[in-house]
Amino acid sequence: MHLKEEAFERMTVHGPFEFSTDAISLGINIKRYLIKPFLKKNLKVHSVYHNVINLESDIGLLSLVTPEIGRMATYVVVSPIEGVDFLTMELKPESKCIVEGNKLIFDKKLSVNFKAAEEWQGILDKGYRWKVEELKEENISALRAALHIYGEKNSAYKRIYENKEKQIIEAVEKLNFKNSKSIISSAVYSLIGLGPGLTPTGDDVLTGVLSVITSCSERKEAEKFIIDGIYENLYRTNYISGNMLINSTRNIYHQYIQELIFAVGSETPEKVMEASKSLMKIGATSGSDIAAGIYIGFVNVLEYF
Amino acid sequence: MVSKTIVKSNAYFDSVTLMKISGDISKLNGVSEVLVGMGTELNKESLKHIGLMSKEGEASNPNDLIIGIKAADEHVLNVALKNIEKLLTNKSRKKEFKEKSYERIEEVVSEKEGYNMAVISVPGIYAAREAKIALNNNMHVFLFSDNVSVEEEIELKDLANSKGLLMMGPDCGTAIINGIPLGFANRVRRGNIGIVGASGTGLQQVTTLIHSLGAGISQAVGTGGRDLSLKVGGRTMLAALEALKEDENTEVVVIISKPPSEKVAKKILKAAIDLNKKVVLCLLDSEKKEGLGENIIQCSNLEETAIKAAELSLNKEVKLEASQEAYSLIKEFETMRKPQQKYVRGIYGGGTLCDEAISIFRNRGIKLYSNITLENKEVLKNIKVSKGNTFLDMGDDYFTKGKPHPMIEPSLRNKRIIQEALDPETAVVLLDVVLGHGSHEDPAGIVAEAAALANIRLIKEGRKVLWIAALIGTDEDPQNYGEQKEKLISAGFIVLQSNVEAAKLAASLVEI
Repeated sequence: MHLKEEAFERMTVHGPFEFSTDAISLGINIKRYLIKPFLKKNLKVHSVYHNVINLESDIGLLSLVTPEIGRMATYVVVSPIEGVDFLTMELKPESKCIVEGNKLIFDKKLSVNFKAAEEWQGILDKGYRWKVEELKEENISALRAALHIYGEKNSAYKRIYENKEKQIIEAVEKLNFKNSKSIISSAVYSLIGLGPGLTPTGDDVLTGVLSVITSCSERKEAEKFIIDGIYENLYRTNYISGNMLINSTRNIYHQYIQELIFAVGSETPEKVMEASKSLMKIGATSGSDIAAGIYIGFVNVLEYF
Repeated sequence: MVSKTIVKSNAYFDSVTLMKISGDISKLNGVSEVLVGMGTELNKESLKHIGLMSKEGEASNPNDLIIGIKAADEHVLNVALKNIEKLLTNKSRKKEFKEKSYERIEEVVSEKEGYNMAVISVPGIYAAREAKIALNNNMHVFLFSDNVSVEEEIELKDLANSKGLLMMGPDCGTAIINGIPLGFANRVRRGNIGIVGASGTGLQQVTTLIHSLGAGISQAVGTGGRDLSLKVGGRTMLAALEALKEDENTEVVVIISKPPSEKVAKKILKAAIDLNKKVVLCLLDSEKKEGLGENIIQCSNLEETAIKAAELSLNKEVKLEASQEAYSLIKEFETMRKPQQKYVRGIYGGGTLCDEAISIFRNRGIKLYSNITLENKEVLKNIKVSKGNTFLDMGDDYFTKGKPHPMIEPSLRNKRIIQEALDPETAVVLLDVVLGHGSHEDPAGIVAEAAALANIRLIKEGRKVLWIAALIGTDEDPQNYGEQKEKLISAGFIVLQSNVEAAKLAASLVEI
């Protein structure tokens, strides 16, 4: 970029903004990225939804979200603007997001001040790891009950339970942690990109399974097989879902996933039920599918050990 | 822990809407206390009780909206507040786009002719005034509010009668007028059976069973719980019977009531005979009377009433579907049953349904205790702890003071359901799950959750209880009857459509 253009860009961002708001919290990863003073940040809008603006960045997909979306290490949670959602702001994909001091600036449309935002770290981000020897079967039973009661009608668990979808059933059976690399890889191949939606069912299930493995205090061979399989097959899914999977391989999960893992690993059936309900409210079937993956993961662990 | 109390002056929302919002918000992770309600004395007392009273809250009046929240942190608090705003705005938006909003009943009447029904749900002190305005403007009234004096009730009903209008209520929970459910009511098939009843859940049970049996409803009129008292004299019941007499679409008339005083009963019976239509008279828990009119069949419970009405309507024999799961679940339970598991614990949300279950046990000579019985020897002295066979109406004031009714927020029953299931003396947990408009969006899910959590504990202890649910609703209800039933079955319930069947099954398992 020429100096002149850069200066022009800087001038434009100081003008009045159509909308401005404050960030409530900054996920730990996005905070570390934003506060590095000399790091050039290449941020551009990838996609916009009612309550989410996804940003492409050098460290992967970052998101600006409203409080109801929950929290994650890669989220900036902002105070909602009354009567306005992100879609009505007409932000264009590919348009730039500039970091100016303590502000994120989107053209003349939106300015987000993150100066007073609190830092957010989930329980896994803080280093919690569940232990196989402390795992209680009653907590896994509570998760199964929650899937029965609150799982979305067309979610993976219901389809598996009702014996409705052969491809998912076969893939899930192959995901058994005792299996060889080739069998587990073929399961990952079958699941990635499987199903409709922004995050396909297969990706959600894999995310759930991975959240169990990557948050375990012991490493398992299957973890490597699954992670390798994911990187080999990322082309089979879309950009947003692919980023979710990449985050999963790095043990970066949504708040509700972290809370469910913690509840199953160290809490009571009541807490498992509560955490399951929160997770299963995400998306159309995504939350339920991730919860199904978590259930499959824990059952596999019990069988493995 | 952070908390906030907000008062919005002159922002009125009806109590059902606000109770629902309180219920929804209380389920958010990290929200420990929430109260969204008008500034009535009762709500202010509850606000104080949960430690959220503020100066503004103290000064609020019943026209002001109070929002009080206690949450784990600022983030949760903001999420909760945003959700409350959204839910309140949705209510207003609905009005903005689908309906027009008016400040006063008179405005509606002056703007356009043809509005002839007012559904009123305001604090009790204003209820009679608003009902009177509606009646004076030639509107029928469905008065959901309670805390209206008997004198006011009589005045309103006389005014309605003088103008040829129906005055349903006060404290009227259910009606279906021209196919439109009002209050807590279910979506049912239209048909030729007209019903008038003093009990909300009673009307719901009968209308839903009639629907399941293949027949349909022309009109279902609620009278309010006090209508058949000696003082009120059945004013609405008589007016409703007159209306059903004139209604060409009504061929069978159903009357549901607890046995009224002799004087009122005589008047009702005369009106029933004069209908010149087939009548099914349900006098709950009463002996069959001799000398009723030829057109009258007497029944003593809601299931029998629905079956008789459906048979008269369809002119053929009908019967309810049996439970597919009952046999295997009972067998499984009996193999694991411990000697000390001797009792039934009934945890009800619907008062009439609880009463009906009590009757079934009482008539079989089974000893029982309850918080709503009128028999001294049956009174449960310590409501917090059940004894022997216990039947609790958790919609009773003791449980609902400052809280939503369990039909709106069924999770309020969960703690007690788990407590009863874990009691080593409990053999059967019996409860009602009521679907329909006004009820919680997922009542079966909430109950199934309690049962699932209790089952996990019981399995650990090598025990099992038998779960029985009366699922009151239809396949046209917003909650989806099939899905609700599946949720209960997944938690191990025997699911029956009829409360009588459910109570009889429970009784058969404790009879000696």
